[in-house]
Amino acid sequence: MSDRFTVDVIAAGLDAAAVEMFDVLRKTAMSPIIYEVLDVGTGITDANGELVSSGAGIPSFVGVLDKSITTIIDKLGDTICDGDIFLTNDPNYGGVTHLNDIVVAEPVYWQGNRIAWIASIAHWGDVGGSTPGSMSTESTDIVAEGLRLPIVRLFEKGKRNAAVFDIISSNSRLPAFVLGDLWAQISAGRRASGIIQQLCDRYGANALQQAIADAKDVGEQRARAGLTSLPHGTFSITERQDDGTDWDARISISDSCFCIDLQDAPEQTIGPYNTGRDGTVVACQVFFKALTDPDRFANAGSFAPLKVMTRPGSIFHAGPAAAHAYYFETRIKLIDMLWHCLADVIPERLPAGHFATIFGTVIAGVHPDTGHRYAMVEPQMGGWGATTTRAGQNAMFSTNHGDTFNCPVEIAEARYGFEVLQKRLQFGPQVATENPGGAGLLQQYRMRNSGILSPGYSPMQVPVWSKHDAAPGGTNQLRIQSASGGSTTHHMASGVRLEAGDVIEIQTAFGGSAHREG
Amino acid sequence: MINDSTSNDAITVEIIQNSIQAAADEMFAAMRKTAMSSIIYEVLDMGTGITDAEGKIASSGAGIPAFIGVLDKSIQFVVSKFGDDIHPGDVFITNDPWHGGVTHLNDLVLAMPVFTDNQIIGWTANIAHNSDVGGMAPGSLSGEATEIFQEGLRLPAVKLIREGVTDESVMDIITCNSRMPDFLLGDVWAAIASVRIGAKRLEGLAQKYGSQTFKTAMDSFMDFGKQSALAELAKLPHDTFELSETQDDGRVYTVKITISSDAFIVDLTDNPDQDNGPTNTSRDGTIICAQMVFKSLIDPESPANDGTFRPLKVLTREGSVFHAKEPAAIGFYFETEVRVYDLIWRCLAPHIPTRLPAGHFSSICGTFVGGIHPDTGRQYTIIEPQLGGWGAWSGRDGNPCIFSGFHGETYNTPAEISEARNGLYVDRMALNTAPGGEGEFNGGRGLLLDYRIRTDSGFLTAGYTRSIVKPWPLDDGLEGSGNYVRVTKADGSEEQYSFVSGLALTTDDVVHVVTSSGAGHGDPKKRDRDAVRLDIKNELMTAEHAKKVYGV
Repeated sequence: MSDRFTVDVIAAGLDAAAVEMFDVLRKTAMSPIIYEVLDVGTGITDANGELVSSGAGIPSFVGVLDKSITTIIDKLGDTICDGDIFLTNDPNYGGVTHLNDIVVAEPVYWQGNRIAWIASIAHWGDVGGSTPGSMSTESTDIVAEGLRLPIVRLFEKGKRNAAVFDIISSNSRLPAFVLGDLWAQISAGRRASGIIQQLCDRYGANALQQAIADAKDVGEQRARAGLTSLPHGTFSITERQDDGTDWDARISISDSCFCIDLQDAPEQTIGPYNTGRDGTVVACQVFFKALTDPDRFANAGSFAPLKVMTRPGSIFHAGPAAAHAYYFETRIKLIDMLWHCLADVIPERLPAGHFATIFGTVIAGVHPDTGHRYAMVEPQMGGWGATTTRAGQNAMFSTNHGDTFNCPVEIAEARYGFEVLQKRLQFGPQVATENPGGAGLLQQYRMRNSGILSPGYSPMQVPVWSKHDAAPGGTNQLRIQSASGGSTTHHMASGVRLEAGDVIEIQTAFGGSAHREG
Repeated sequence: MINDSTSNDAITVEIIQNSIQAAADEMFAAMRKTAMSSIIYEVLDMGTGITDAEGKIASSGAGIPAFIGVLDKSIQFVVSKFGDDIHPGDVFITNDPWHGGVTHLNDLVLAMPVFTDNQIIGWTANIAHNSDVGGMAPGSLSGEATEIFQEGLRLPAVKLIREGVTDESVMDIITCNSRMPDFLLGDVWAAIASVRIGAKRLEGLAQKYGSQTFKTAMDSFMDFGKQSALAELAKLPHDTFELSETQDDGRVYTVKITISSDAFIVDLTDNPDQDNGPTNTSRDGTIICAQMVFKSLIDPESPANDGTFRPLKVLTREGSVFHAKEPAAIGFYFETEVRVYDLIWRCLAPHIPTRLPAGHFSSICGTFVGGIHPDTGRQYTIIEPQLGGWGAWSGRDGNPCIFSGFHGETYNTPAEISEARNGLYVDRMALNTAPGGEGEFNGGRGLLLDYRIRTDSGFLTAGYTRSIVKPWPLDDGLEGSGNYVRVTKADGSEEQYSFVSGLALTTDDVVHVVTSSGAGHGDPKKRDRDAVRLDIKNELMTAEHAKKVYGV
């Protein structure tokens, strides 16, 4: 048995490996969506795919990687070897999210035994399919959304599979970028696996296993401690969505279990607004973690008390052919609903509603200066909700995006060749007795060349919810001011044609407000 | 084994040549017997071929004429891409026109090197149309596509099998990116079986006669092909011929053909820029069209080989509709190819009347009907070229209802198979007796084919040309009747189309496929009176129409 200090040193070493992996990815990726926006996640699991440590990155990516790895183990079992590297992006094959998010995973071996896995996930600018940027609002099946990689070997015992590389690059509109990003993910993984092997060299595989088990125990203890601090009972909510359907959730909290029942959800949609069950579980994990243990990196133990119930064929547990491109809007509305459900029950942890959309914005075209194709893929920032003791945060990313950054104006202008006319905060009305929600964002892009726009966001027919009867929050909007006069608004659209001089104006909601205490 | 040095006699060489031809035919039979999809085993929308070590075509099996010239180009691409990294047991796959695929993404080409004594002595290959390779629309072909990325999975000449071991990663990608994965998998394995049986036969030949003799036989066959091409070329009129022709969409295509004793030059440089839509073709595709006309002029009887085409030169302009630049959409390349094929033909027909009749319906009339099968609950997709009328000759009426010059030796799907496989009714299959194609010699009749839909979630995609600008006559004959598709909705409303993409169909909608007659040859007033009366008796025309057009 290793002593407490050694165990802690190893556990911190594993966290460091995940963080270092993140840094390598960030420093070597080709696409701004990865190196600036940080639309990525990294993680380390044990030999069986149970999450040990997650790096920084998007909260909703953290819970993806363990699911990818367990699916790889299920599919390939004994054929997995030292030097193999696997790829998946398909929610039916452990990819969890949508086809743009590529998971690169590899087993880590030490003295001939598999001791861990490392994996990363990153959003690629284009993986083919019916529209530039690969996220079409028109698609009705996953095949139309781009290249599906149903768990494939990218490397076999250290040997590169040239066929898979060639297929990937020829099926993307941005081949140089996706290959650059792929190599960045591969090298990030190599860095992390080297660190884990060094930990074994120094402390031995047994000590590593012990540290992993210990970390999971600690994670579970903290989750259970967090759970006991929550009010027990059953809480339910029905929320009207922008498309007119109603979603229901029932949350039961007891000493031993945090159970989220989503079985009453609507049927899966024909369009690309579905999420797989894994994705729904990730959304619930993000929410659960925020309530029980918001400070430490997550591991498999962190989620031990969580139980999620879904119905196959529903929007939260879509079937194999369903389209997924805008899964994130469904997931974020799901988190927002769960949050709303408990906001009055746990007011100190949960402020009023936030702008609750990723506001995925894809602008693609040919760069006016370089003549190369580009595809900007960006989430937007918006206002967060107030509590009884403070105003909401101004212009932050959504719950699902978390630890990501907006792309600096200079980078955007240089890389994409359009102008950013303005980027500023947009406050809501102030009410004397209330803490206001945080400001949303007003941003304007002016095109210097023709291109296409594919926005995907929830316009909020129902404005952002506030606490009790405080003044409601804002709504999200996108307008194109045409150079030839006239303007149009869009929310879910694919391939909207843009001409030089057109101005795209994005306005995100300010957060919900709350009555001031006392 | 027979000693190399003594076995180069003409008889041995002839036996080897015929054995190679037999191997290509056996490959064809193997594929036909094992394929899953009716587009392959019934329609025979496929081709097989054998090349030498460098990818020069040595022999082609049966199949679509427009496919025969594909396989050598695919193999040449594989050879240049992989160089030394080609090993016994490897099987390559491509479908991308910028990576040796030539046609469109639905057509998967599989190619296998044949080795003896660690030397490549030849290649076996096949091509077949697969029902769905992904992309924005079921069936992978959409009139709305503007880039190749929307048309399905691109396979840029990759190894599917490495030294006999299947790369499961590549196989999984191929099947997972199709809406009909089990059909695709079955068809790909049929194609693998086909190249393997061909390779085995060639190995056997090389072992029996010696690889040097085998090689000599291939080379001498190609030399023979070249000599006979040159001999025929000498008999053609030596001159320069030009033609400009307006298309259905208003564009004008232009060709200049120069024939001399040692060259046949087809100049297509002066043509419109490539299209934003999917009606482009690669340069390789355009070359194949020129090869098809060239072959029918100089030697329509024997199988083609590389030597046959050596006098042919094709000039194109990159960025034009006949030489599209990556990543243009090319899904409906076949309509563009059949147009350039017909353009070359029309340009020469008045000058070489013994070999070239008047214009035929000259469209693939590619018809795609799909949906959920009402009995099985599974996705189905009909992918069908259509039959139509051929043009008249001096001295002979045109043939009724056969496939276009581009499709050649393919078959229409029997109504029973179509009804069972696709879950719809074939209400009618008949000759189209609409006026058109009259002459001293009449063009052959086109087709009427009615599909009645049995599912609520169906769709129709079609791309027909020669709808507005109709098949061209010779010597005062009349033009053909024109191709189109008409849809009668269950509520009785009707609409006519030539290009339509993803039109929604529901139960009891009827799709009427209407193809053109061939064009006529000579003044109708000169037609034999008894022949006109026989046509009236056979209800191919009314007495009233006969009086008006033929004066009978």
